[in-house]
Amino acid sequence: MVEMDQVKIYKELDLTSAGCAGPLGELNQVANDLKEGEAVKVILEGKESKLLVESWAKKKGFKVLDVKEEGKKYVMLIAK
Amino acid sequence: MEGRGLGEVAKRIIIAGGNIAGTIVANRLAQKLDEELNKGEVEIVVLNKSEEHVYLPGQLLMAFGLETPGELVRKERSLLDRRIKFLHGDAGTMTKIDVENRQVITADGKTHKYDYLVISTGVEYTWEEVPGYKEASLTPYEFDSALKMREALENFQGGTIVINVAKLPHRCPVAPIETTLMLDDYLRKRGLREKTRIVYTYPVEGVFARPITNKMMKGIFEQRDIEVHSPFNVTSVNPQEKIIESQEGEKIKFDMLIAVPPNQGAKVIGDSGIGDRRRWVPTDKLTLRMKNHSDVYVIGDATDLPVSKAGSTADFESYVVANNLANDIKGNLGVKHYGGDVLCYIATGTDQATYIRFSYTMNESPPPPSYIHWWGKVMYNKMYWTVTAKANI
Repeated sequence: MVEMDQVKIYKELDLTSAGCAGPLGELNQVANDLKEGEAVKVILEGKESKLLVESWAKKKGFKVLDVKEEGKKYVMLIAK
Repeated sequence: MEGRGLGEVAKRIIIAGGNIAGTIVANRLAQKLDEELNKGEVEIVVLNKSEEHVYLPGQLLMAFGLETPGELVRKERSLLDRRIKFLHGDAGTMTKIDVENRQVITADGKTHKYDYLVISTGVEYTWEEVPGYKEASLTPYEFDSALKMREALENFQGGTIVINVAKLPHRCPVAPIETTLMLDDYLRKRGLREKTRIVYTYPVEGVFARPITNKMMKGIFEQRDIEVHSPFNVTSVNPQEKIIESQEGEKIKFDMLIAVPPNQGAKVIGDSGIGDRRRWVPTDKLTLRMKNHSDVYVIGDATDLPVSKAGSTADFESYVVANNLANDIKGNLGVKHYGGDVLCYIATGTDQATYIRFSYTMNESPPPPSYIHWWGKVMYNKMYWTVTAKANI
């Protein structure tokens, strides 16, 4: 189990305005590239995007280590 | 040389990479720094391995016999402002980009010092990430393979055609949809559609990752009886048995495989240690400066921005990079910000299209497919050499 304080953030992905690959397309590849003990920090806008990412993480077997709400934005930490 | 101290040399701007992004930004910079170039106060140098410039978006049309090879290739030199220096071959092949020491090293052993750098090194296809993939497939993303695809389609008499996107993000994001819908139309017109099963496979749920476009395109795919298998993350292909396999455990047998290869940034980015794990360069989404480097800009496919890797993106970005870099030198132009603008035509057949135009703050609103937008797509392609590449607009 990866603990929050042990995790190293490999990359920060600002997906508040994702392009053609969409938030999941961008995240899918970066998450696949994660190594043991690493996490990707994801910034999303809106509850719908947050739920989408949570459901994707569950299906793909990734761990959501942390979710913070900052105004309309959500900051999530995702690890393998 | 008024206002410049004794011994002070001209400011050198290196454009690391030609093709769409490098060519447009070099020409736009030459316009912004017209006087400085004429006075010899600024030097612009473009480095590129090839002396030829290929219009990549046209390769899809070529694969369906709607464009000829000669229309897609020009000499890079003929597109650049005559005052821009252009180095190619070993002299233009970059082996290291050293942003700490402000220099680029080329394969002929020379070191090129710079005052400002624009990284426009683009994408490289990493076929080796999927065993058997290259051997088993055709792709409109590579010039020679697009020609082979044209021949294979001419000889095709029916069977299963699988269209597969290996990984996201990839260059020209709408091209897999276009390939699929053009293929459907092409086969209908040849009377082969009923003898053909078309299977579209994509790494995330749906046919495209932007919700509005996905909804519209899913509807068209359904109407045209195109099978969609997603999420489908390809793991390997057996070229002998013609079977493609996914991480999700699916296996599909095919007669023809049309592939979108895995994309990474250029090898020189990895070798120089300036990119992430997939060799994309960390870039500020508004100023397009390389993160933590105020003298380096990044443009086009080379950035790590979650925007589309498309020619139109590079064109929109070129206004920002050229302005901001010229402002760094002249100091009187103000700073421009990139708004995430993208425009992509989407062919929905061999004579009809729609388009999507969006930005960081605006969603797309694709109009119903029509011949008018097809005409727009064709004209946009044709005007590339005389208008877009030369930064005439």
